[in-house]
Amino acid sequence: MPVGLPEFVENPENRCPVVLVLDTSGSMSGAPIEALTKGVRTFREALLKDEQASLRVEIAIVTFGPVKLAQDFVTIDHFTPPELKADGTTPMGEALTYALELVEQRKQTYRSNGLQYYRPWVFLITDGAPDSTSPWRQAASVIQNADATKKIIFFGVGVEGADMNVLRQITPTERPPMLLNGLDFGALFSWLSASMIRVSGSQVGAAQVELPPIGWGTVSV
Amino acid sequence: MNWKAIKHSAIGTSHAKFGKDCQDAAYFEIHPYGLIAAVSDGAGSATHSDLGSRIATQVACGHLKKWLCFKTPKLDVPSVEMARDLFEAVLEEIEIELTVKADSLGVPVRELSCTLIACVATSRWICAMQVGDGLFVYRSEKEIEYSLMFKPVKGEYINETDFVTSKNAIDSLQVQSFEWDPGFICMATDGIEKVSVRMSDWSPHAPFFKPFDDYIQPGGTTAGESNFLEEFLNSERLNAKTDDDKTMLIAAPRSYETIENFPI
Repeated sequence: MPVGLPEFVENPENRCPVVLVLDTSGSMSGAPIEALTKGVRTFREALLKDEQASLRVEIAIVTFGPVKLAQDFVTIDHFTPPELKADGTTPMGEALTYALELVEQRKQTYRSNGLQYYRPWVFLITDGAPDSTSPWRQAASVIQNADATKKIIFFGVGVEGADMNVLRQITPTERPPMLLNGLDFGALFSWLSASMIRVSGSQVGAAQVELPPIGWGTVSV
Repeated sequence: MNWKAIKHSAIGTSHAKFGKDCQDAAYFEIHPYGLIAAVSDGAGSATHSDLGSRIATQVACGHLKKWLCFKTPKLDVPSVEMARDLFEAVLEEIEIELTVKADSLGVPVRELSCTLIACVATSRWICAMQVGDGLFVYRSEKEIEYSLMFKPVKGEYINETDFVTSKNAIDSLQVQSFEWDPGFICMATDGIEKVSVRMSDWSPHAPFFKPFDDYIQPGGTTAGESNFLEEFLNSERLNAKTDDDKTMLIAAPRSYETIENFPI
């Protein structure tokens, strides 16, 4: 008796969410914001080359200030990098709080749609210091707690001129902030896309995903 | 009642690419009173989890076989409490063996981390356990539907699960024990999950399992004994969907061709 072929069930892809929290304040105008915009494009192109990642990685972009959702979560294959304009102040605390809420809502959406997901990444890039009125300390403690309880994985990157002292208080202790080499956003985003590719393909028990070496920045001590 | 069982493990394409061994293992024994089977998936990041999964499956089956030998009466279904005690003892013995092995290799026992699915199935009842993820799908004799014995343990994130070496292994242990008329069993590691089960509600996809069910029933194709399973697990079709190690153990009851009396 001939035996038929096993039929596969079509499951939606697991999601790998990443939120970019980008400083688009006045000080970023000119070369920095151009390089940043190009970097985001690099990110998209690199991910599109990996079939699995392009279906799994979901990107959201929060810019500040003012705090704006420049891109709501979308899979890479449907992502068009937004035009970034530098103009405004630096409400860093509000932006970070907003980003964390965005992540939690996305997880709820995944759960109610029966989608599986990887630990979300939150990636802050800033060239300055938060406005004096910005509740960044509050945001920092929420971030550290969320990272420690593995709700997110948080990275902070300072561009030249950034207040690394503040950043050091925001990022988790075991993951100090990085200082970008000049305006080498290209290298940063190549690294980020390579990391996302590894994470989105990672299997069970790979809670320690080996990330590519960081060649785009230095750890501030 | 006799049993027919076939198992195969195929290395995942990502493991092959990075020169890693297959970290899955499967083991079974057909005892006069029933089938004893186990499947285990070694943790991806653990350096010796291929050894871990092999030890876990062999120790589990050895322990279950001894238990079945001494169980009286054989045909009475064990209570869930009894089954839980049994499988906790299995986990304890595995922990000891893994620790001995780890010590001899000079590594912490977590480098042998692995999941475990195991069962004892007789003509009247089945008792089963699961720590971690992977699938245990079964069908009762007169039914056509396939059922999932346990929901695979996933942490919040898809790439997390529990292992036999985890501190919470005993708490995380899932156990079932019930009377049944055996029809078909399929135990698989998580490499198979996404193509065989609807992940939104963990319902087994019948058109996936039916060909294996047909294959292993009496009258199923007997040419090339284990090739069907082996070919499938190494197929391009499957490797396009998953780059993880893949293991399946399938089994179905057989009546004895000659009638023999076994003391019960």
